[in-house]
Amino acid sequence: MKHITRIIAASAAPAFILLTFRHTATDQYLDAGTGSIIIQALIGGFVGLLLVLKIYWNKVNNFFKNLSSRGKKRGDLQG
Amino acid sequence: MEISKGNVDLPSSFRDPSGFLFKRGGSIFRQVNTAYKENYDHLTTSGLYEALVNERLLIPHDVFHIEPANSDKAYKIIRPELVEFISYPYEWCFSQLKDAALTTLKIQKLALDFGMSLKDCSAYNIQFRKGKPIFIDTLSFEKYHEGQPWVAYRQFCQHFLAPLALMAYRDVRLNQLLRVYIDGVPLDLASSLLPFRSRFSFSLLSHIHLHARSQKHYSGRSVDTSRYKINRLSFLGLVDSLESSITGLKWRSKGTEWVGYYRDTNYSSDSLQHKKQIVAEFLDKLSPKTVWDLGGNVGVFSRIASDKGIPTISFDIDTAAIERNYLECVTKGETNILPLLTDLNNPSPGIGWANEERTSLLARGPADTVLALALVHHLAISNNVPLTKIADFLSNICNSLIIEFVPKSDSQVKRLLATREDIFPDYTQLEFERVFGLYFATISSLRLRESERTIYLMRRIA
Repeated sequence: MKHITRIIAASAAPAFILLTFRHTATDQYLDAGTGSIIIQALIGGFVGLLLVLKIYWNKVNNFFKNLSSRGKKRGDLQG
Repeated sequence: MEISKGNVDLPSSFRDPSGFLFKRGGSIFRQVNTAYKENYDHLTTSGLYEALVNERLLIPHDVFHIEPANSDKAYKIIRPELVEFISYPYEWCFSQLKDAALTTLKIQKLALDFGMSLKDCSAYNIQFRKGKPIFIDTLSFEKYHEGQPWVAYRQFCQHFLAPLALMAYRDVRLNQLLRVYIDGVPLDLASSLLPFRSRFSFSLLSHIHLHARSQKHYSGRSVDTSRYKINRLSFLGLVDSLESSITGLKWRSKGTEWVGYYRDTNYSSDSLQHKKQIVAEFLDKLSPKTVWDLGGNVGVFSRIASDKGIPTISFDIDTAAIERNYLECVTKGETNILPLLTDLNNPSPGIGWANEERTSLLARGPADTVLALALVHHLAISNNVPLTKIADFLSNICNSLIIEFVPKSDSQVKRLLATREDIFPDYTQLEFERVFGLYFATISSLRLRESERTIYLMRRIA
């Protein structure tokens, strides 16, 4: 799972971000952190999604871990 | 509490309009300015301060009702608990910088739970206290507003992620870039130095390579950044992505000349044991308040002092030795020893504005006692430093000295002289005693068993 999200992330994000760099707007004076703010906005949705996937993956993982440990305990009691 | 009025502003905290540090009557205080009132009140009333202090993530402070250093701007005066020795990121090994980075992110996550965020992420805001990294800038927290980007993101990448990635992917010595770049490693520089394979890590690709590209792309352009919103989930995702990235960075020492030093020297176990015994006896005679072990290697002799409850700094030039020393501190939960990287031939200078923002190693002394064991021959023979200069330097950084003289007949000195001409006719025990006698009074000297080495206990002549 981790491996797959990594591959998707590494291949999809740069294309998306590089395309976005072509767009510019000219409204306000910019400070030295503009590039940093924009990169956050660009990758924000993506890393947010990865976090949600990670949380749910951990939940699923824990569910099966608990299930197998319960099974083991039951087995211990029966044995 | 009565405190004298005369105060000195500390040169390390002048940038932040939220407040500043000042010294008065031997204590260090922090003035909280009215500009920071709302944030300070939120920090203390929201429960964040208590949570951070309980988890030993933030330095605790007391509020003092004393006359402020600048009454026009003052809201409160606080006195943070003292950190015994201030160290800097370019003096830390890989794991120290990594632990400092993870501590910063842990604080940021906790702050978000209480509706606050870190407004700066300077590595200088972390210090090692009682063996653990702790955040020392109480005024770095600001109220979080949904949609706002993380203002400290760039600083975090420059101060932590970039140097750690360079150390892990390229060379561990690249942490010394932090000594040149006081606000962290510029991301375009990090991007150009990192190998191509680092682009296959999504986090390094985005937080360093594309980040650097974005900085370059938007540099000098006027952009309305207010339309770039980052929702809470994206914000948390960003912090989580940085945390995963930092956690995944590893550096393993492949063994260096110094890490195997005790294994490779001609010490017999009896001789090493005798040396430990002498150092322990001398320390008992002195009962120093602080010890600096110069050339401390992996901290074998530093621990004789720290195990006696003496706050000890174990300095060495070798990153692998400091890494091993630090990991031992972490494993054993040691609180009195701080391993730090330093090249005695070029110790940390004063850097930053007016060379005062980060002080030199010498300005952070003197130590009560210095251990200089198996050190003088390296300085005198490998680096051509005359004995008078060594004695003069040591007399400037300590009140008392436990020092070892290793004669030319010793195999270690023979090894140093094997590849070079012996241009050191003055490197003799007699000359050593004469020169050091100009700066120090010898209290005791003992010959090491099964060796021609001598260990001296000296007190600086006032």
